[in-house]
Amino acid sequence: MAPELAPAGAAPAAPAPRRPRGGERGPAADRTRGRRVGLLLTAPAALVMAATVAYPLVWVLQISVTSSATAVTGGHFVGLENYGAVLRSGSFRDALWHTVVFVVLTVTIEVVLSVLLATVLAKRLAGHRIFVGIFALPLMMAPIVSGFMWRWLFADQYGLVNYLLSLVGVDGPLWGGSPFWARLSILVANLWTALPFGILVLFAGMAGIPEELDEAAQLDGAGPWQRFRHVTLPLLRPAILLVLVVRIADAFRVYDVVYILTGGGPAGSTNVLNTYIFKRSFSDFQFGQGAAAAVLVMVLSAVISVAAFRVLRPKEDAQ
Amino acid sequence: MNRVLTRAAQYAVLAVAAVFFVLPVLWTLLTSLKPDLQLRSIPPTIVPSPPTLENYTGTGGGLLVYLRNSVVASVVATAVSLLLSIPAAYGFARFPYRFSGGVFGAIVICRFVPTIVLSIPYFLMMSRLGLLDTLLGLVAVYVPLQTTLMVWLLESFFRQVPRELEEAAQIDGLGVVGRLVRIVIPLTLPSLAVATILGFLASWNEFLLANTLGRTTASQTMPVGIASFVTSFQTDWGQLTANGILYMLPVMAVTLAAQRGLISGLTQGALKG
Amino acid sequence: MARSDRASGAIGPRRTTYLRLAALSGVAALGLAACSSGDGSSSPSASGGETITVGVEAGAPAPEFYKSIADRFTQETGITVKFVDVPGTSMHETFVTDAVSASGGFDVYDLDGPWIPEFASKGFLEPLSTALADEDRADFYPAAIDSVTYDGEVYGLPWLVHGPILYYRTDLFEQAGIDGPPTTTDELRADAATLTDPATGVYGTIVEGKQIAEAVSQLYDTLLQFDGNLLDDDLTVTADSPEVKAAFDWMLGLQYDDQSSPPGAVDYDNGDVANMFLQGQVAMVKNWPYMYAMAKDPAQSTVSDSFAVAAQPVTNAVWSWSFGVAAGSTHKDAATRFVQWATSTDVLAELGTATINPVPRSSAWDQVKASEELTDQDKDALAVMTQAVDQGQAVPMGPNFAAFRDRMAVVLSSIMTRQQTPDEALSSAQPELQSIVDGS
Repeated sequence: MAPELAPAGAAPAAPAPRRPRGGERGPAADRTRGRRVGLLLTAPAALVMAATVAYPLVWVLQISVTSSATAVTGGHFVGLENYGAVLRSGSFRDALWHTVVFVVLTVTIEVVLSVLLATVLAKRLAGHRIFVGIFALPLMMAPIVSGFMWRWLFADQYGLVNYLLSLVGVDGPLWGGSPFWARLSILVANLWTALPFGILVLFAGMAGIPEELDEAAQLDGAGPWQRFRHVTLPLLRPAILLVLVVRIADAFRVYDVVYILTGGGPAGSTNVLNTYIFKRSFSDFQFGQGAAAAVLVMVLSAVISVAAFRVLRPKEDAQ
Repeated sequence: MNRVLTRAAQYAVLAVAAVFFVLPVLWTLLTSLKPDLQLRSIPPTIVPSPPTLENYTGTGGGLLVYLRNSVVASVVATAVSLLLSIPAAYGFARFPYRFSGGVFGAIVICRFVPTIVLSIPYFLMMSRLGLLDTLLGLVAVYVPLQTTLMVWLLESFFRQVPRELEEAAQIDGLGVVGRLVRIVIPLTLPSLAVATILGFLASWNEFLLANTLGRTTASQTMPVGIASFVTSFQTDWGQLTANGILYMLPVMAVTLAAQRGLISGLTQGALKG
Repeated sequence: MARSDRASGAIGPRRTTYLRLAALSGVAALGLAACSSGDGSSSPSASGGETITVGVEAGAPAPEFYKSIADRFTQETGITVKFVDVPGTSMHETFVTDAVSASGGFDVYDLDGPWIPEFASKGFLEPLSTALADEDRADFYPAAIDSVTYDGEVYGLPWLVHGPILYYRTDLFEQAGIDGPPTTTDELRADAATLTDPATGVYGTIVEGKQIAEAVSQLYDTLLQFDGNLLDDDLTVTADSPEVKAAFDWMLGLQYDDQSSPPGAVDYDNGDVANMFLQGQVAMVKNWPYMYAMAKDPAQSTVSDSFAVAAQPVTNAVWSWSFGVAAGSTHKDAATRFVQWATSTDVLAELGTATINPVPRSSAWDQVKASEELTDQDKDALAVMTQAVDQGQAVPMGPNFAAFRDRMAVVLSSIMTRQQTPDEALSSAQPELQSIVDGS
């Protein structure tokens, strides 16, 4: 099937009769041809995305600058009034703060744990395939089911978590009873659903790391931690950055687990941006403000993602 | 000795993580096998005694149609997304053009949109297109959902492939499609599989849009069906967990089958010397 | 030479063909999906009559009942009824989406009480006062009609009006030497303290404190029992009042001083309350009438033959579920006929008998009382539920009640988790609560 692959860096075999597939017309023609190819390859996806996402995005932008009391049709232009109202709103600022803290915490933990677990998985110990399957389990469970299961696990009287803790003599906390424990329960439940993504992506990323480099370093006398820091980690960097940026986007959009576990409580201590948007739109009937908040969230999370990416990416591009 | 300790430590790490991931699933399974009374016992009953299948049989064939909808919508959306994303990711990775960075960014930024705000515009859009309560409408909404993620992931994976291999193949006379299909894809098969599974699951488990756009069994998916067990006054835990488990089975089966492909892809396309 | 031949020759086209096939099958699948997706729209039925779409809560018992007898309506009127199951957790949003986009997807909405002023004020509902004949209006309980009236106009016809009742363990009461269920809030608190037994892990009662709307509904009972309310008829917020504070002090006393309510109750909703009672972990709870059928079922309850029901002390709040006609409907007459039929005496009597829930009109209650399908015990329970409606009050709501209730849920949770004292919480929330009610 695949043609024999020469090891990286080796010269190609003896010159074969060259078919002029662009290699001979010179670098400029090559680049033009390359650009054209790029356009052709990316056009279908870009067009489909534009066709299916343009309407909602334009709608959101439009509604965000409209006064919308009862309907999403009608209403008049109000400039940035909705944005102002949202930014002035105490509950938005609380939700923002909660979300940002949540994002920082969960993404940091996710990246660290994903790297750890992916690294161990990549050692391909006997039976590692089973572990890969187990680590993928949370992805396979519908969020509505896992959300309710976690709420139930954290329940005080008939919840498994406190029951198991009691078996080892620990008096489990009231998971929904105080802001701290409520937030922790959301963090844990969310980690359960979020970690598999990072683990799988990093595991797949590690598949591309040649073993010889690691072995060479080992022969040179480097210890496991040094090998990890100087061989594995740099090569894994692109994958880590990818996971980081995608997970920042996802963590900003957290909703199901919060809604099901705490509903934003107790006393609004676990309100996040999405619960704010939802409430503003469907409960308070302020669709314009909900849309404005959504735009703000999009911009903010994109900015943070890009910033994280810029700060952490290697100085020279991966290629 | 060192080696043994390291091995042991590695297994320990995996085991702890495995327990964390398995426990809720196991609990869901056990719950689904309990009779109603034991479901909510205080303190919790771990093992159902006796185990019963009443929560599974009680469902009836009514939910099969939800399952059918989920399968059709997810499979078709995944197929379409792959067809769009693979060439696009390759294009972004290897054939940049003047605004390709911007186009890539535009595709990728869609993932930052809070899904909640999409429900009304998509409802309006599908309503006007006459696609409300249709699987086609659902697929139309799931494709961008998956494409944004897949393009993002695949672009990164494709970029990791050493250029020399593609250049060698180019010199050998392989065209763009040939290089993509015969060099890049085989080399990134594990990552491709991961991206496919993640994309597929995004549609498979999606609730909000399926609920907004669906009205009847013509297009309502399993997550919507499962949500019906949570009513304003009570939650039918038995049915919820039983159907939750049932809904996981197809994915587990597919992933199991795909795993073999994953491993063979690894041994075939790996860069071992 | 050989290599390049192989590269671009025999296998190449096969790959391209594969890609083409994949693309074709994808398109074909799309086409199939489009064809096979059913007739989602309300098209005229085979018999030539109209079809109306009724949005109901998925999995709930009353809709199941209506579905089972719907063909009677079709036979009578020739109108076909298509029920759309909407998950309860997203019912409100689904109806709102339908209404704001004026899509006419639903002809009839199954409405929770608070949605009536909300929807009516935004023009989502068709006024039904003319559809309600005088003798029917007189037949419905006053609280029932109140709960579906907004701005002097009726916007829905109720199929359920209910208020939480007291469920109590007859065996535990006997053991403790308590004569009967409490008739005042003082008695309730005293009884709860007596019945709390750390040795057996049984609590006296439960004070729901979760930050959700339903817990606020339960809160209303206590407030009313202390002669307080959150809103008066002019929709002025009265949360920051001595009566309301007294009620909260009583609740906090139960929770923290007497400790006769479990510590986790600050995060309980009615599902948790039901679980606790059905598992025998609490001696006395207030909960909705639906729990009665569960409690007496041995397959669901450990206390099926050792409990009884009573109306709450003094009074309680009363809430309703009704059917309303969507303003965007294109089959308003047919929809109105359905709503009238679904809330007619006979149908309601059957519904009440089948689900063991109170009925909103007295002629229906008379029929239920005379029913031979119910045991005496059931009838007694129904009498209690009806008494709760009788002694109960519909609470003033206003169009922004959902948002108000959500905000109040935060106050409740804050007080019950002792993050704020009742004084602090109520006075600091007062301005915001008022502005929510005013819709600003």
